[in-house]
Amino acid sequence: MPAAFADAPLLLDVRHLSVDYVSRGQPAAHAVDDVSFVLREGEILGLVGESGCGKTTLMLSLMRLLPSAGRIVAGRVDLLGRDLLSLSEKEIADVRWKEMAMIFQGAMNALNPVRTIGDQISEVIVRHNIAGNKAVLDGRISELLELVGIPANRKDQYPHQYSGGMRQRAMIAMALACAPLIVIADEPTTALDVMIQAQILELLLTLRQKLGLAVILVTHDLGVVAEICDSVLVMYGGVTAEYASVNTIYNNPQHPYTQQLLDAFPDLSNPSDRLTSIPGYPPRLDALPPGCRFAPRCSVAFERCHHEQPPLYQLSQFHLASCHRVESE
Amino acid sequence: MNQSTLLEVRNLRKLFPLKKAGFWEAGDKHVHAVDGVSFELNRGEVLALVGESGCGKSTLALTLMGLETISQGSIVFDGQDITHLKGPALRTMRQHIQMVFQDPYESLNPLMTIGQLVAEPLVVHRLVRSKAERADRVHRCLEDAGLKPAEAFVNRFPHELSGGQRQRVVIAGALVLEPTILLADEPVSMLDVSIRAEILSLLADLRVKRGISILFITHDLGTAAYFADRVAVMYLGRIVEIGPTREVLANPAHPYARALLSVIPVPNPRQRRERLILRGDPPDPIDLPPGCRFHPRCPIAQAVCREQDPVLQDVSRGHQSACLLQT
Repeated sequence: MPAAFADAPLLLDVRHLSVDYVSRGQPAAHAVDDVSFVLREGEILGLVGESGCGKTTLMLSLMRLLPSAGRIVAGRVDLLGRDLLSLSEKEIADVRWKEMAMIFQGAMNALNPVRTIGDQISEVIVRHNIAGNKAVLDGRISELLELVGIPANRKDQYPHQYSGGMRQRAMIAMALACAPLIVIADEPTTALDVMIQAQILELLLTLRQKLGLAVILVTHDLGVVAEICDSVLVMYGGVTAEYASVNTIYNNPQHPYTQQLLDAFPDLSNPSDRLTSIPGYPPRLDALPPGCRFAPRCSVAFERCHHEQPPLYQLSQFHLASCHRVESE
Repeated sequence: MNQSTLLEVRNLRKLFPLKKAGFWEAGDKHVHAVDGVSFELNRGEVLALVGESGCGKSTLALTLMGLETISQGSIVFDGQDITHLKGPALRTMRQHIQMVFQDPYESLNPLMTIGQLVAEPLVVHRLVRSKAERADRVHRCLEDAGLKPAEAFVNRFPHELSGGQRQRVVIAGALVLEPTILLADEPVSMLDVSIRAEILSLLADLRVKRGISILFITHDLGTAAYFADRVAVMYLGRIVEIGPTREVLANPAHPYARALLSVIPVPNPRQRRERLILRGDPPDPIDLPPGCRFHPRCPIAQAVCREQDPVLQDVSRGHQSACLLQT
């Protein structure tokens, strides 16, 4: 835990969570395997990894929104001391939006084109019986829009009258509608221009400051993570590759995957460095290699890596990495 | 036009007329998609065209391909004016300028094999005499695009390939006509960071191996910096700054370029720095603001910026910027 957050109240405690996708006549795909992390008030956690590494599955299982083939096979998800996995459907429906809200990938393009933005935000509030009457509801919508930097007088406009950046802001306003403690944002800036991306990231930082909001930012963009995150969880093939504070991840990465991911990212402050890509492809989740899941692509793998899966080694108080090389050092 | 210039664009304009609001309405409103762009692309050079969505960079690429007509200005390719080419002459010209589109998930026909996809341009342009020759050229391009061995790919379908491999197929399809210019419109923005670098190094290798010039269209100044010899920054249909990559990155002269540079994420939390975040979105390209088109969002705009429209002026050798306040 980064020093600045060690004292903040613990919101979310995820322990040894494993998720499988099952389909008849086929081996189960282990999409998430024994992942643990914590989230404290006001913390921004970056969840990083390539497509198919299990990051979206992990987030969906926190919200209990897995598709029907998904099964949570082990682990606990504690939100303020309450185990979310043991709640009934009705109880978890109350947790969604009110305590934990999610902005789905590409959601800004999924707004209903024939209903106004204000109307769509009000749906969430009405569903959770937050506002008593029409006037309170209208006031709340205006307040939410102002909070994310949209003039309140635009609440009666339709999605096509908004630019991409504004639609994403409206999605954030919707996520905040029931004043949740945690917002999970899945690739919130991926389809946006750099300037709009900067605006959205700044907005998340402001909201953290104003509301004490905790954010889980799911992304494959390490630049975005470096800009605003406090801690980083790097996933590979469904497992935790490395989990540490943002400074440790960038300045003292221990897992070869983290190191190679950093080398693949263009760094304007050092443009003479050669960009390197990671050869090969992520493993298929229904046919995982027997040893370390990264071994087939790893440039420093040795014999043991190919037949024994490395555990998560604790390197310091807040630095975990799953690599056999770490142990030998 | 000197010896090394391959493509010269002069004062190019592309206006899209707006639909009239009513029958009696005067239909004189236009979207100024590209509004007076001039630049040169040299042989074997990589020029990055950088700007936000809606700045006209893709429309510019389409006019260069002859896929959009031109409202004004001229395009000279290898000494020949290609501005108003039509029919067979246009088709011949297109062999020399090929495009790599953004989305490898949508730009490949799912019902065609990789071999058929890459061979299609040869069929359209009736360039090969025999099946053997066609297979041979397809084979060579696939391998040049890094899909080795080519036999392993020719009979497969797009859905069997990963995103990076699909983009290589798109590049192979562009190479098969042996073009001298590649227009790459956001070729890596749909790909994971871990495979972007390999596509960029593939393009860099093609430049060396085949001497291809590349016009690299992107909103990401970060990737442009790694790869381009020169950078042109576009804002609302105009180039506001152009120069050698290192020079533009080290000494950006236009306030828009400075802001764009300041918001590029640097993958190092110790270097979190002051970001110049511009408010709002670029103005509407229909009713352009008077004076400098950047002034409504410019952090240093003065009274003069509301009246005068700046033109590109030399900042240093080969480096130009269009700002009234530059010294």
